[in-house]
Amino acid sequence: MRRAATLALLLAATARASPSGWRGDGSGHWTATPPEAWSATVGVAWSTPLGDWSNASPVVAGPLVCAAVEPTTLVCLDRHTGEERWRAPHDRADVVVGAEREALLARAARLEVLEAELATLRTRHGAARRAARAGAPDAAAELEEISARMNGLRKELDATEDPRTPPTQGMVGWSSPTPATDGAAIFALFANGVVAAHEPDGRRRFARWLGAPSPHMLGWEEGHAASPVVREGVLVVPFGRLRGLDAHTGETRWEGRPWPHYGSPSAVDLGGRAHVVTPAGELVRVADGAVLVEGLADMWFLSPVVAGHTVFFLEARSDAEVRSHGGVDLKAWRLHATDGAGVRAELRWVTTLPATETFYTAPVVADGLLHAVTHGGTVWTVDAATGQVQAPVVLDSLRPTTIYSSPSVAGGRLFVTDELGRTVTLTPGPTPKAVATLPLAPTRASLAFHGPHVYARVADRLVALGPPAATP
Amino acid sequence: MPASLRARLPEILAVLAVCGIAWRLWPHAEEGPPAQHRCTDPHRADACFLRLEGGRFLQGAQALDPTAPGHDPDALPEEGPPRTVEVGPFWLQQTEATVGQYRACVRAGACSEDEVETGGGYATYRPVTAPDDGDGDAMPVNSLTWRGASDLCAWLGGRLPTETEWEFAARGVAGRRWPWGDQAWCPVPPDTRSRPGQRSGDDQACDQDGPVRATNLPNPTPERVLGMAGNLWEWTADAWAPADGAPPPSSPAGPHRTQRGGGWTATHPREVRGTVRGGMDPTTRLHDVGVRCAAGGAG
Repeated sequence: MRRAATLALLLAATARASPSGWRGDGSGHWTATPPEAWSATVGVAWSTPLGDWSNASPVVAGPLVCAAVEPTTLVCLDRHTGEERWRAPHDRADVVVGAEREALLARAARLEVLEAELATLRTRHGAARRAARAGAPDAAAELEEISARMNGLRKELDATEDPRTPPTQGMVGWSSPTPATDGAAIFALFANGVVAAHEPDGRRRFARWLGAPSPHMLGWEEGHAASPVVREGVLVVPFGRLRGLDAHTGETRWEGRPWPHYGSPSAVDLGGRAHVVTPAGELVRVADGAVLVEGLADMWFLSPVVAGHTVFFLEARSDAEVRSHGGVDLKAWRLHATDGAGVRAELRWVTTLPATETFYTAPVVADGLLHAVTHGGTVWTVDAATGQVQAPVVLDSLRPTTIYSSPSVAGGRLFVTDELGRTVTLTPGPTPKAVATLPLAPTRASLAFHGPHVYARVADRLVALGPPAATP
Repeated sequence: MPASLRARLPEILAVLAVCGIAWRLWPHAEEGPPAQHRCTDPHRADACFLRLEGGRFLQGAQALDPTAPGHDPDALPEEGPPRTVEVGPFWLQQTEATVGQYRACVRAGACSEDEVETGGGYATYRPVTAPDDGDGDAMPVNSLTWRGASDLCAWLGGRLPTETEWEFAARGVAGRRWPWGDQAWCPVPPDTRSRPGQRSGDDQACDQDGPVRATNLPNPTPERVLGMAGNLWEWTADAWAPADGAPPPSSPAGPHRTQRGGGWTATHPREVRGTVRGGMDPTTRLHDVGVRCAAGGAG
């Protein structure tokens, strides 16, 4: 009886929740009342180790808060207590069944055997080399034999498609896309090409392998970071190409254009219909993938930001290109629904932020102001209606620094977090004013906010900041 | 001709003859490789030839006496005894010779595909019947015999380096332990090393999965010679003589030849120090062996 009541509460809570994903609705502007301050020991509701790092931001799904873990694991915790509720792996072999799974496992096993044999030969090769240096008479013949066998193994390894997710390496890793939720299910995308949906109790709703990641990305060279978006029963998946999957079955509803972007699509509702805006400046209808508008922008590694019916594109490039261009262009387009489910785009303004370094993070728009933060900790503020650029504010308490986490506005404050986890809170305005610098552990993820809590994916943990939460 | 000059003619001719002989004998670095093979920008990682000034240095190392010159606690007997040598100016390829260079040599008829492994796997060379591939052609050519290395160097307008020249380029007048200095680094950065399943299982400090391009070798000598530590053992011109005084080994193709630098299967920085050397049958085609050509100088 008690278990049934708990389950009912769980389902009811999730049913009331709104779609959410990277930066909440994608804008980084949250309706929440976060704490004004915290320290390493004060104001921490809970801190739960997850086992490894991830660049993905946490996402609140009803009574759960979910996060990714390198390389391909999704973990969901009780949002109130931080207790782990379930975790699910997403290697390719984890998401298929039957003969396909057996074939993948057999191939993975064969690769393990080949690699073990190659490792043994490497050891023998090293020993033979040392013997050759000492003048052993048979060393040359042995080295030739070992070389030939190693060449054969290497050729077979290179010719065998590897279904295993390699170990984590590099900055982007395999789990940078932030999970999404429609309030009922939790959707996860990983850079090994696996996309999956899980019920709140952890049961898998569907899982698919979408293929290898794009070999050519704009602005950087490794991995994949774009996050999925779910609207109107369609999971919009930016991987390889933009796709719309049925959020209940995972079947492909539509396939769109190639996706070489690290940035994510941003959702915008027009005429009562859901759309997404892409970094390439396209407006795509979620229901059928139709491209209704294109050519609005040319972004490389950032995401467009939507506020109301206006979409902002920060066309950041490399530091060198920013300096040679004299800054970074920022465009504002107003989107209008037209008759017959069409859309019209109107350019409101274009301006150039005269920055001398680039941006690794998407801006945030709140209360008529757009705030963009360079990777070195300079806040640029722009009037969202007119494009007028305000004087920049340098975050001296962070310098020297690198900022990968996109800024947020919540509870009337602007939050900027650097890769060391130092979080500056500012009062937003034409000239944001720093209020405090608060500590977190190292992170490249953006903060998530819900009610009185801030959720931070830092180091190998998920942390909830704010008052200790009472168990419902 | 004035009588006084005529009287001194024998002396004048003798002086001119001596000067001419001296000119022939003196090492001329300017006789180096053809102009098209000389480096124009030393900051590019290229298999072009760099001019090295030469100098005096202590070649070799010993591990027996910490107070004696050339002490290196990791030195093996064949690395000694240390001795002071003088090296004249000469030219050396900035990087190991490439697949593209060997293919061009084969097409020119000056090199043979019989002297190089073409079977793939860790062997980098692709036969000339295979399509051109910029990335593949930039790889260092490996699995070639001493004869193949010699022929390639000759076609490039050079020759194999002597051991002394090779070690001077790697260690300089200062006698660096490694080409970049005295820090015990692995030759390639961590993100180009092998995957866990391909590691040796021994000391995993420097696991590398096959040879890499020069652009993946980040620590050059002060003169900007790249990749002298690890990646590929490099053939030299010298015959190999064991340190214990045993008769030098040889094969039907001739004496064993010395290789320098260590290769990609090395598992620790000590295995790729500038004094590391080994002898090898000249007919072997091993995937951890390549070549870096020299030119000009005394040879």
